[in-house]
Amino acid sequence: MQRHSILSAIRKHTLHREDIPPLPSSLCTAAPSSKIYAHEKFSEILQSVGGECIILPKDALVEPSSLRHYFHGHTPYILYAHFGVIENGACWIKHHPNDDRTRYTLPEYLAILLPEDALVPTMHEAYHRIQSLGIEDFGLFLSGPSKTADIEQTLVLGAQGAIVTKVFLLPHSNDLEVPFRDIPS
Amino acid sequence: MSETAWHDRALWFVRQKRDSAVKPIAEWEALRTQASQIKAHTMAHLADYLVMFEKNAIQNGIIVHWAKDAAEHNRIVTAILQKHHAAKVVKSKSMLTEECGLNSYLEHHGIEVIDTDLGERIVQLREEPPSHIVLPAIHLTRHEVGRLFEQKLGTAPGNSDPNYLTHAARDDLRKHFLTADAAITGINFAVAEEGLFVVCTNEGNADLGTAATNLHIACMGIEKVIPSLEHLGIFTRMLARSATGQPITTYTSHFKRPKPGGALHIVIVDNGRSNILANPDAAQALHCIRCGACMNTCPTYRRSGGHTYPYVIPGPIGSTLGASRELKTLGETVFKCTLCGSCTNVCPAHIDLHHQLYAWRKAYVAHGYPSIKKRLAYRIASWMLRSPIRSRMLFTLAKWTTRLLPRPLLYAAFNIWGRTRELPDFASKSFAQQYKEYTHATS
Repeated sequence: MQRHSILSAIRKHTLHREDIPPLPSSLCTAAPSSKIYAHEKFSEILQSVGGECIILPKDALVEPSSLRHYFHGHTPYILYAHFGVIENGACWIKHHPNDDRTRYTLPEYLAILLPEDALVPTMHEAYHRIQSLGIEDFGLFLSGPSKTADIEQTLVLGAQGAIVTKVFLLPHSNDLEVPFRDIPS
Repeated sequence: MSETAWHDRALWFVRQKRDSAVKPIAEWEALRTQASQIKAHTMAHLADYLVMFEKNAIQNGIIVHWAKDAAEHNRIVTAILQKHHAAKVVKSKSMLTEECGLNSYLEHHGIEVIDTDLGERIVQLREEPPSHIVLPAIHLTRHEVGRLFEQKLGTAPGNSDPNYLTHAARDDLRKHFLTADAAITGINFAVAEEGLFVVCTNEGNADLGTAATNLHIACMGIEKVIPSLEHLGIFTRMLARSATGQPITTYTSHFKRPKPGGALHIVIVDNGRSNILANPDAAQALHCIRCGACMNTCPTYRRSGGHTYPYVIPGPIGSTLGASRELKTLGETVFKCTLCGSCTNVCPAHIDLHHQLYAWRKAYVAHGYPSIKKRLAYRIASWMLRSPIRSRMLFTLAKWTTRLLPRPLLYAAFNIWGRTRELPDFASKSFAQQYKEYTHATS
């Protein structure tokens, strides 16, 4: 049984040193920022990674066909995100086991819907949220469209996944039938 | 521009992107310290965390395998694929499978492997190894890729536009994604408390491959485990910023359970890593998160490129890992280091890279591995440079011989260094002379 021999090799070779520091007791966190500033910053960072952030007007109709004009006439595929991360433009999507996982990569045009007050400053706060949200079988952070710079360091959008990714912030008053139920307030 | 200068500039560009991504993070140094502490703690309790990870992963419905070495890893992966009658595999980037030589092993067993990261696909089509761990095809120009795709993918002759070529590869790869039987990925982080693992890509190739097939095999080295979810906050903030200067990779995917009707396997591989744990001069190399920042900044790597290193991982981290693996055959590369310490300064996990390379040099010499010619040269140099009088004599001698000796003699067969390089011009006055004149003039 290799498991046993690998583990005993590890135990045998582990250095028992006094100077091994304990795990840091408190990890870095970021100061909370105001709502307006949060939107601006999130939008600015998302743009820098090839995406775009759009604040939808109140009572806007949110369905693929009504978002077409944001995608030069192409019908986007809609994803629902639980929260966004200001420092990197990423949106956390908690996958439902019954959904098809190709939805994150096969569509060429992605519209990510996000409640406007669901923005956290950094990845530290993001993982605290994930700890309370839980992960079922899969979950991902998505930050902008799929990209590569593998040919002579030239950035190309649309490597294997989405070519265009836009995040739509939904005003809180929108009465949506979207699966945001388990977002902690 | 010479090839060397072109390569140097391409890598320095990535280093500068890293700098501008890191600068706005006021707590960057605190993050590095915490990353280093988390890794040191995990390595000190590695067996316990691996057992915890295994237990939780099994609870999540993941099948866990253990492999002592590369051969066993390859056998396990092949057996899983054969059991599922998989004839074609889409693979996303994994330095571990590169280290184990998985591709050729699978092909030998009649299983078709398609590398799906664009850079890896390019080097796969060229039948050569990647030259960088994050940017596998950084050594190639757009024209070389254009000619390759013209031959292999039937792109328009003479077209070397990166946008055009990338989308041609995308169309070709989509066919493979949709006809593959299984997906193989690496693992960036394995979270012990959750029994889940994270895979980071910019292209989405790991996501598309694992979503389009029902069998997912993920391969990890024993050092990839971290204690808990909150520690991912530290590492996901640092990985992409250090690697390519992005705030985060486009896709940061958390795999916890197989999808309904699918199977998810993890292969945990030692392959010499547990030996590194016991060497205090090298143990920190296991803290590496494979961002490649040390390569992008290394003055030697930038000019020589990844294919000049004997180990599968090039650059500073590859030199120390290679030396750990087999000092005699892979260790000489540690002498490429200029000891400038730049790698240590950019490493997000604060690995003492240049100290390790220095320690390996001593070990290499202590084992008597340098050739007699080199040992003799070291001894003479050491004797000459030890005394100010002798070293002054040496420099004067060098100045005049390089000036006066006829070129055919100076660049004769024994001067290996001079085959591709020109000797520098010596200054007409030595530093000591200039200093003497300067102090004389100002006193």
